[in-house]
Amino acid sequence: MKRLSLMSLLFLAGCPETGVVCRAGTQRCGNGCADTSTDSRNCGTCGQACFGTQVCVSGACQCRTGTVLCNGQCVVTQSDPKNCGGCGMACPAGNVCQNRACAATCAGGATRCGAACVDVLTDPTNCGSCGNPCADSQSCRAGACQWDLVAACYTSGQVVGVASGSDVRGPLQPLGSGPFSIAQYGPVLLAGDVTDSRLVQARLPSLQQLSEFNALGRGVNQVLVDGTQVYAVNSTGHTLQVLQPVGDAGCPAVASPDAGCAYLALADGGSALPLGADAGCFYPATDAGCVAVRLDDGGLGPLALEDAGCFTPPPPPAPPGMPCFQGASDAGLKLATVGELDTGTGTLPSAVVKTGSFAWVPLLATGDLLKVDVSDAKSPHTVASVPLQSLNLRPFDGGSTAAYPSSIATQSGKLYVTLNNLDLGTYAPGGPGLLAVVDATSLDAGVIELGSMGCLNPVAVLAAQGKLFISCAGAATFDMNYQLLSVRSAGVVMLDPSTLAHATWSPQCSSGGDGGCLPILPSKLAVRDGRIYLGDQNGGRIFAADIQPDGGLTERRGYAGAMGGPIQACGVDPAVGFSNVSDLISLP
Amino acid sequence: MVGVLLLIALQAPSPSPPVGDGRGEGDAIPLPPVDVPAPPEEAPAAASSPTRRAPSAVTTTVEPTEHRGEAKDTAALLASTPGVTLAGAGGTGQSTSISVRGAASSGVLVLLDGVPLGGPSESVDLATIPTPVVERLEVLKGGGARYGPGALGGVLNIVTLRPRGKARLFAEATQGAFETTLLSAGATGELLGGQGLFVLHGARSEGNFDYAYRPLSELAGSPTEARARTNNASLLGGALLKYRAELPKGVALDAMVEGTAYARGLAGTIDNPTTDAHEQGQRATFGARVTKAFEGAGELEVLAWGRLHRNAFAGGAFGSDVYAQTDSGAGAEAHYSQLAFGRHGLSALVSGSAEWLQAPGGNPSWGRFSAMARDEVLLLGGDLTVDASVRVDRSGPFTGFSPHLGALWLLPRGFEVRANLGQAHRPPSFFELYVQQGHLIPNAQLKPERGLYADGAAGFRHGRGFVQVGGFYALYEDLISYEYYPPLLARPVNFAAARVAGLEVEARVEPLSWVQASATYSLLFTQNLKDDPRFYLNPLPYRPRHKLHARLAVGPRWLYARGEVLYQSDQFVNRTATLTLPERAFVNLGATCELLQEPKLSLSFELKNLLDVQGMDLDGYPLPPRAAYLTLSLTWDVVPERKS
Repeated sequence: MKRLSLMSLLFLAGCPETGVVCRAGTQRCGNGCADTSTDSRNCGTCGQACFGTQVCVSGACQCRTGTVLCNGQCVVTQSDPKNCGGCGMACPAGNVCQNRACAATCAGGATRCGAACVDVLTDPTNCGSCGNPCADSQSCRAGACQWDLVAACYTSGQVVGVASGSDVRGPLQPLGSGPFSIAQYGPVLLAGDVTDSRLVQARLPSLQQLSEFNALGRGVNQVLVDGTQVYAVNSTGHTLQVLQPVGDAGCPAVASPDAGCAYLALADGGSALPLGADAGCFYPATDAGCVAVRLDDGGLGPLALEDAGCFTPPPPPAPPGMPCFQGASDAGLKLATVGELDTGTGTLPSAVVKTGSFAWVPLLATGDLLKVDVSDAKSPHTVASVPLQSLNLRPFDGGSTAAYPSSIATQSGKLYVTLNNLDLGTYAPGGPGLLAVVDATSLDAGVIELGSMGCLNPVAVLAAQGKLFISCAGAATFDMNYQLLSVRSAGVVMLDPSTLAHATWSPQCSSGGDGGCLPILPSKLAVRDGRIYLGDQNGGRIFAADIQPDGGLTERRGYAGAMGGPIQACGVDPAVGFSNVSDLISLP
Repeated sequence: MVGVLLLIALQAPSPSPPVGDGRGEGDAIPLPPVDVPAPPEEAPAAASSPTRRAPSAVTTTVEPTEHRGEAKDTAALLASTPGVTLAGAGGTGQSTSISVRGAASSGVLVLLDGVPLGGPSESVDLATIPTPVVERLEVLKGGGARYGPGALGGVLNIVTLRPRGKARLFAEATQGAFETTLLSAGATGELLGGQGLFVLHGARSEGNFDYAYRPLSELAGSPTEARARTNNASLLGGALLKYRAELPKGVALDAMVEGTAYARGLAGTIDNPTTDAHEQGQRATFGARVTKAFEGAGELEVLAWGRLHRNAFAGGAFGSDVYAQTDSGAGAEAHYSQLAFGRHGLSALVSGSAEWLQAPGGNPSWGRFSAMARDEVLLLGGDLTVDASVRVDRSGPFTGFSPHLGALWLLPRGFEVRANLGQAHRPPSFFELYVQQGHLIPNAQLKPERGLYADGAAGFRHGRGFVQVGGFYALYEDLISYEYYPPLLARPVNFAAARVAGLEVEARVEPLSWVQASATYSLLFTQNLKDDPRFYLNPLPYRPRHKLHARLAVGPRWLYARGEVLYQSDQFVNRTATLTLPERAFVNLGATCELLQEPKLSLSFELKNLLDVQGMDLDGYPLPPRAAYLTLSLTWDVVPERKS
């Protein structure tokens, strides 16, 4: 008996391992998790901060693009008076450095920051004002720090910013639980969270999550911002949900105009945010060390532009009607659902695009395209339906396929809808990739065959620069262990819809799935600065291609990228084995 | 069975109990009633497989005969059991799964007279268990270390009707809401020198009902509209055949064959209902148990069993093609028990089986081999039973150790205390490991789920009732969950560790011969212990924290009325604990009138969901509204039992 009891206890193999596990791509630092591959405060390892304007790239501190290392410092030889035009090339006392040359004064509208002449509208080390470097690898655009691209990582519940050109990404930031679709709303990033059925928010450009959120229907597939309104397409919940800011133009009813987003005019001609009365503003003047003075109007403000580095310039003017934020706590956008349209049980609406006062919603399950009148946001209603399933889907070998319209874009009065064209039994491509073309006025519909352009299973379409960019997920092949072995006819088709002239870019994983080359499974895409960025839902990567002047596409970031491999945007959880870039947008 | 043997062995040497300990004069040292469930006038149902149950196990037994005429299916009979959570798809014959102490339904081993009903680690649909063939339902709560793989949260042992020596005919007919008809008839008596039993049963339900639906769910103040749940029909029929014989030289034979066929519409989800999806299934189960008692208080028990279950799906997401799968298994086990040293009950078990799955996505099979050693020792004059066992199982590529240590202490004046500690595990199922099902793909790298459990309970039994209060704690690791896998697929992964703790209270009292009251309460805490911050320390989804059942029956045996309340608190439906299903409380009323005594004929009326509460299944699809049923029951003892 005793022996048996002892044996029993011995076989109790110990308690399970417990504890918090950091999200993919991050590791434990103190009580939190940090992305040590890109976090300038925890670069390479916890607590290892980068100096000055250094940024963290691939776990190592390095000079940001546009700066060079001189005597252990990252300097801008373009404007640094001590290294003007090159390391150690100091300008004489009293001179300034501009365009790599010493001069007596700054010319051409350049702003003088000490003895450096900079363009505060574009200089990431003096963005908007002297001595205001952008965090991480953010770009400086119109005097404001910003990411060029933002990607959503559905699997790990994160978002990440990417700088175009340098193709460097920022730290992974948690946002919700499963952000599937993202959109910009002024200074806020909105994300449709499938896991929590919520519309969550993050501050731009830091991507830190805000506390405000709204309930969405089930299975949000796309979030679209149009003017002040937000449209959410709830696939499982089969609704189109319309949200808009609460209150008068979004500003809190109790806030007086001057107490909110008004900027104080300073004696030297500049302007600043009021320090003590910024209840309605998103950017509080919280600069440490700022010397606040009492102004004539009773408010507080910085003494002068140059003082204590506390000047915070006004953000770019908000679009007309763009709301202020509620409360001094910067909780986020106060939105409310004002209208909703039921597309019908089992219809699976998949996407939305706006033309004028109409929203267009493709239905994945039925193959229809709904034309929805949203002129009154409170009562969206369907006014027409275009049956895309009845188009010639050209199935392979005489089989039968379902159109499965999955995404939509509009250009020049026409609507373009990707048709997955999948076999009904296997859900594998059962016909060529197709792009339905619908005239927004006459509702006449036709198809453009993308299959001959090397595209199967098109999943996303984007209209930009007068062209259409179509992401093709291709046909996947798995090995016996359901590891993705290869994907064929996947990539991007760049199409001129009027001439059907096209170019195709297919990242080729030549060595197969088990040769260290992880196949790409394309998802959403973005176009920025003459480049196509393509999300990957297999390895959490972003591939990139340059659009050549002759209309060709050359791989920039990828298996054979001219600038190197793909950008590892989202972390990969080894337990799951894949990572999903669920959405990718370009910020203006 | 060991308990019974121990009882016999201890009768001789055991000293007389001290005066005033509350026991009746001449009583032997009592063992817990839960371990000796034999009715007074019949031999115990040998096929109930009591050999594996530890006397200390916290077990609830439900007998359908106590609910005759109440139009309850197997799941409804278990609804009051503390520690048990049921998830039904809504309506007669629609799929219903069981969760015990926070373990998923795939972590509850379901046995039919000792024969495992599901494939390896597969969830069993209780809707396919016909109530008319059930004599009692035994729910063993906590890891079923002695039952082998799959009993992570507990064991549901379904014991079928036993053959009787005297001839008896019985029948029952129910007609009620949603065009529901339930019929059963059976006979038992002497047969071929032994005792035989035959039961036929059938059930059909149109199943459609109206419910209130709010299509613009996110728009505050939007109206509801009436919608109908359709494609909810079901049809089920089957038979049970049993035979029992006492053979020469102390050998007893029990044999059982059970077959059930069913068809049902699959209504889909509230967001995406399906109008043409349906399922057809057939199940056959066979078990034969031979028991031989030896001189010297030893006993050998050999069980051979087989199981075949085929089901096919068509329509809806399955399209026009039929998706058919068949899981089958066959095995045998031998169990020898021996009294030793006056107070030890030693036993050993070896078993082997083979299991197969045939499905469009693959045809895996594996063998299972198990060995278990066990000792039960009586201490303190038999008041304290300490049992220890260890079981080793090899299931396909997985090996699991399942130790168990338990104690039962019978105190004076009807009090008792029990405690258990052990480890259980659940190997991944064939589907999780090897077979693709539509969008669900397998993962051959999965590890088995493991659970460490401990529980304790204190009880008080009295001639007019009993009360038991218990608590439990379990740690699970490598729980398996399907997660999104691109493109448009889901794949199972070992995702987390979790802790589960709770409280179970069960009380029953009969203050007067015509008044019976009972109540149960379950408190369940779950917590994710290893995950990223989105999920870490969150409650596990689909585990309601509170469950309460109260029942009152009043009246003489020939005319009595009853009422019951079933309350279940809200529950999360996602791992981030942000989406919930609302709480619900169902009130049922009923009355039974005995029209004749010999043959016994009774008429029952049942009103379910009196308050017309709109409950929801796990997907938010409403459950049936208020419904009424009328039941006529007949029991006729044709030939008086022959005196032996």
